Amino acid sequence: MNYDQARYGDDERNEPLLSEKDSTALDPGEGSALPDDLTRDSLELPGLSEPELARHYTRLSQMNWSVEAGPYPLGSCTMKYNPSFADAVAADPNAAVHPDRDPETVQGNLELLHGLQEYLATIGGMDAVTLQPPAGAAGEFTGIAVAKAYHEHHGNDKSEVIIPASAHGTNFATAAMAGYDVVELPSGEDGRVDVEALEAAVSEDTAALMLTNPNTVGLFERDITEIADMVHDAGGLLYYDGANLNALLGRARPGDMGFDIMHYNVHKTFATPHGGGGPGAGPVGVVDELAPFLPRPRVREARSASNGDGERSDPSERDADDTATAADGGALTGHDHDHGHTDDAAQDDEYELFDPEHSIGKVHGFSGNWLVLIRAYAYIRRLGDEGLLDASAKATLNANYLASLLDMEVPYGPFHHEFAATAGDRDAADVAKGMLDYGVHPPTTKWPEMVPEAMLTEPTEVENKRSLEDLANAFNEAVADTDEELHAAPTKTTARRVDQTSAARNPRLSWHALGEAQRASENASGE
Amino acid sequence: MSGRSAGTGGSPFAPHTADETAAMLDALGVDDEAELFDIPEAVAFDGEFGIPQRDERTVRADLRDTFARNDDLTEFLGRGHYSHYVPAVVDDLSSRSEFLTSYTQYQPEITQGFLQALFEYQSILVELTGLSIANCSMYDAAAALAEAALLSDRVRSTSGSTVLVPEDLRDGKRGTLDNYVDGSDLTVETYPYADNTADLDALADAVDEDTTFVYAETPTVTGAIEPDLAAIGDLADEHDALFCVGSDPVALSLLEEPASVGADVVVGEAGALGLPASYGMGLGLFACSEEFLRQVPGRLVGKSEDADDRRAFTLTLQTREQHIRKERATSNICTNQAWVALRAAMHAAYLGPDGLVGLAEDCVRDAASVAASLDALDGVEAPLDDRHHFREFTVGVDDAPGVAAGLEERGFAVHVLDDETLQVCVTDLNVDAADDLVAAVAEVTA
Repeated sequence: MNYDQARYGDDERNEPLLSEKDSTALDPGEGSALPDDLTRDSLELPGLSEPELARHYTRLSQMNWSVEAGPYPLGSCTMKYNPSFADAVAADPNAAVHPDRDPETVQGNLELLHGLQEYLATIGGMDAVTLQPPAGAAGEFTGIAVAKAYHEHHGNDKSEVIIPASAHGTNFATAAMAGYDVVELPSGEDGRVDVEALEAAVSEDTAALMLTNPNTVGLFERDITEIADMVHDAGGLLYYDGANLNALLGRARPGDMGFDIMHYNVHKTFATPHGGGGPGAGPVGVVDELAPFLPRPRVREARSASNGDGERSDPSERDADDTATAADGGALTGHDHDHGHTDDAAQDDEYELFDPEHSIGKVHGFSGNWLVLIRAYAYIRRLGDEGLLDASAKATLNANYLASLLDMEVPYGPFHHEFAATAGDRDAADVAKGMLDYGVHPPTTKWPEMVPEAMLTEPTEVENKRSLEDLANAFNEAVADTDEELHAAPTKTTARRVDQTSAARNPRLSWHALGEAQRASENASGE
Repeated sequence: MSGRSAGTGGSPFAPHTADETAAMLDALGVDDEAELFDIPEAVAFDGEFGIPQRDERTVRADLRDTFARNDDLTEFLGRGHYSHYVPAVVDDLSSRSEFLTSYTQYQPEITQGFLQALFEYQSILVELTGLSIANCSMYDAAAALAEAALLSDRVRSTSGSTVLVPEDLRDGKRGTLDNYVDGSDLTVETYPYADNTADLDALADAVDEDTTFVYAETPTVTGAIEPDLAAIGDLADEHDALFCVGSDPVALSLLEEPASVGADVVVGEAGALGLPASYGMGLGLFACSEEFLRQVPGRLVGKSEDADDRRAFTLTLQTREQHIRKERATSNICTNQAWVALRAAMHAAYLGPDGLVGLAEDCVRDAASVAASLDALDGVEAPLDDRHHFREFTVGVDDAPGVAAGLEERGFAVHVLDDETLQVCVTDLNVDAADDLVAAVAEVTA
C-alpha cells in the first residue's frame, strides 16, 4: 500500500514546539491578593490563540499512527477499533460528577458501576469485582495485595510468587513491589508451563502463581486444572493476568479454570481507546474467599432495598459490619460461580457503597478511571453474548489467517488471538522499521524471549480479510528486504530512524533542556 | 441502511462478511472458528452470560436514563478532585482519533505527534515546578505520591525508612501510599497540623535521622496555602530526607515555585487542567530533580535526532521500566494517563501564562470572598483558620450533616468533614452560584 505520513516543518525539525510558537514571561505575584512571599517570581509559558492551538494539535495528530488509521497489531495490547458510541455515552454531562457526592445523589453512577461489576464477574467466572485499579498493572498490584492480605489474615507465611519467563514484565515488577521474591519459571518445550518445573518450584512459600492464559504466544495452558490443583495444594493462590482475555470471551472463564484472582484489561478486551498510552482500567475479580479483602469501597444493592433482614445472601458483599464468616484459611478448592446474574437493573433499584470486611484499603485516590469504565459497560451491553463470542472467534480466526499468509515461521501452536512469528536470521526490530513504510503499525518485537527475534502479532477481530492480506504483505515485503534497505527504513514516516542511543546518553526531557543545549553550543561556537 | 453492524449474531465491530469468513476458514482447513480453539472440555464455557445484544441507539438511550438518575446538584466540592472550565477546543482536538486511538509510542518514527505533545506536557510541568524532570504521567495524585515515597527508598536507601505525611491527608492518598509501601521497608508516620497547615514545631520533633521522605501539600486538603514551605524543606534537608511537595498546575502557576523552596519531588493532580469532573479520574503529576533521573518511575519522552539529522522525539531511558527491567524496574506502571496529559497541556497552552495566573488568582479571591460572605452569617464561621486559601476552605456550623442535607434539598453539594465542619470549594464553574449557596446556607442555618 502506498503510504506517506504527514511531515510539517523544515530540514531541521517538524512542527515547532509550543514554546517555539510563543513564550511569554510574567511575574505572577504582581497584583496578587496573596503576599509576596507566597507567590512565585516568574512564569514563562506559551500561550496560543485558539486557531493556532487547533492547527498545532491537528498537525501533531496527523503525525501520529492510530487504530482508525490502519492495522495496529501490537501483540498483547489488543488494539481494537474503539466504537464512537461509547465515547458519546461517556461524554454524558450527567455522568460528570464529583467523587465525593453523597451516594444517594449519584444513583446513576452506582447503577453503572454495579452493573459493570456484575458483567465482569460473569464474564470471568468470578464472585466479586473491584473497579478501582486504574490500569492493568495497577490491577495486578491490587490482586497480589489482596493475595498477601489473605495469606496474612490466615497466618500463612508466604514469600514467593511464581511467574513464567514468558510473562508480561509488569507481573515481575508487581510481585517485587508487593514485597515478594520472584521465582521465574522456564517455559516447557511446547511453549506452555512445564508442569514438572512448576512442581519443583511450588512450595509452602508459594503465595501465588501469576499466569496468562492463553499465554503470551497465544497458547492455551491445557494443563490448567492440574496446575491449579498443584498451587492450591501448596496453599497458594492462582492469579490470572487478563491481558489476553479477548481470546477466551464466551469460551472459557478464568474462574472455571481454578483461578482465584484476575484482572481485566478493559481497555483491551472491551475496546476502550488507549489514548496514546492510557488511561486504561484494570478491575480485579476474585472468588468469594478473597472478596472481604478487596479495595474499599465497592458498590452493592442497597441493604434496605434488597434484603429486609440486614443479612446478605451473597458473601462477597459482606462488609465490616456483618457477622464475619470468612473462610478458615488453607487451600482454596472448587468454588461455585453460580452468580445469579441479572442483566437489567430496574430503574428503581437503589445502590450503596460499602467497605469490604478486611479491605486492603485504597489503590486509587478515588474510584478509578471512570470515563474508561463507562465505555466498557456500554461496549459489553452493545455486544451481548453473541457479540462477545464472535469477538473471540474473529480475533482467533484473524490471527490464524494472518499467520498462514506469512513467509515466516510461527514456532508454537495452536495459537489463539495472537502469535509470535520469528524473523529468523533477520533483526525483528529492523523488520518492524521496514513495515512502517507499508502503512501499518508493526507488531511487538523481540518479546517474548522464548521465540528468537519474535514478532508478537495480535490483529484483533477488527481487521477484515483484505486488511489482513495487506498486513501480511507488509510483513513479507519487509522480511525480504536486504539489511541495507531495512537499516535505511523507514523513509515514509514523519521521522526516519530515531537515534535511541543519543536520546538516552544525553537526556533532553523538556524544552528548557533544548534551550540549555543550544545556548551551550552557541557559547562554544562563539569562543 | 445501517450495514452489517445492524445485524445480530456477531460483533458489530468485526467487519467480516459471511463470504470472507468462509474463505478464511477454508484457507485454514476448518469448518468453523470453534475448531481453532484449543480449550479442554473440562474448562470450556457455553457462552451464555445472559447479556442480550442491543443496538447502538438502545445502549445510548439506556445509559442516558441511567445517568439521568443522578441528582442535578451544583457542586462546591474539591478535596483533591478539581475541575475548571475546559474549552470546547480541548475536547475537540483531544478527541481526534489519531490521538485517542493510538497507544504507547513504541515506534517513534510513526508517533512523533503524540511524543511531541507529551514532551510539551513534560516541559510545562518543568516550568511550573522548577524541577528539571517531569514524567509523562502517573495514574493520579495518590499514585504519584506513593511512587515518590518509593523513589525515596531507592535513592536514600541507607538513610532511613520513615515516610512523614500530614495527619490531614486525603484518605485515598494515604490508603494508596500505605499499599504501595507495604512491600518495601518504609513505614508511614504522620506529623500534626496546626491551624490547617503543618505544625512546624511538631514536625521538627518528628523528623529524625530515620526520616527518608517528608511530604507537604500546598494548598492542603482543606485549601489552606502552606505559609512556610521553605522551613519544611529545610527540616527535610537537614535530615537528608527527600522533600516532596503536593500541588496542582493551577496552584503552581501562582504559588511559590517548589524548586525554590527545596523540593526534590513534586506530585499532585494535574487533571485540574483539561479534565472535567469525572468521578475521581485523575492525572498524576510527577516531577523531580535531575539527580534522580535513573530512578524516575513511568515513561519519559526525550529529544533526539533521526537519520536525516532532523529533530525527533522518543521514549527514553526505558531500561528503568518493567518491560525491560522486570522485577528490578522503578515501577510496575505500563499504561498511564497519556491522553489526560495531552488534554492538560492543551488547556495550559490555551490559557497561556496570563490565563493560568488569572485563573489561579480567581481561586484565591473567590475563596476569600465566598468565605467572607459565609462568615457574615449568624452561626457560621469561615474559614476556620488564619491561612490564605486556594479554591476551598472549611466552614464551622452547629450541625454540619444537617446543614449539608438542607443544602442538598436546595440543590447544592458541599463536603461534611465532621459534626461541626463543612468544606466549600469555589471555582470558575460554580462561582456564579456562590451567592445562591450563601443564601441557602443562611436559610438552612436560620
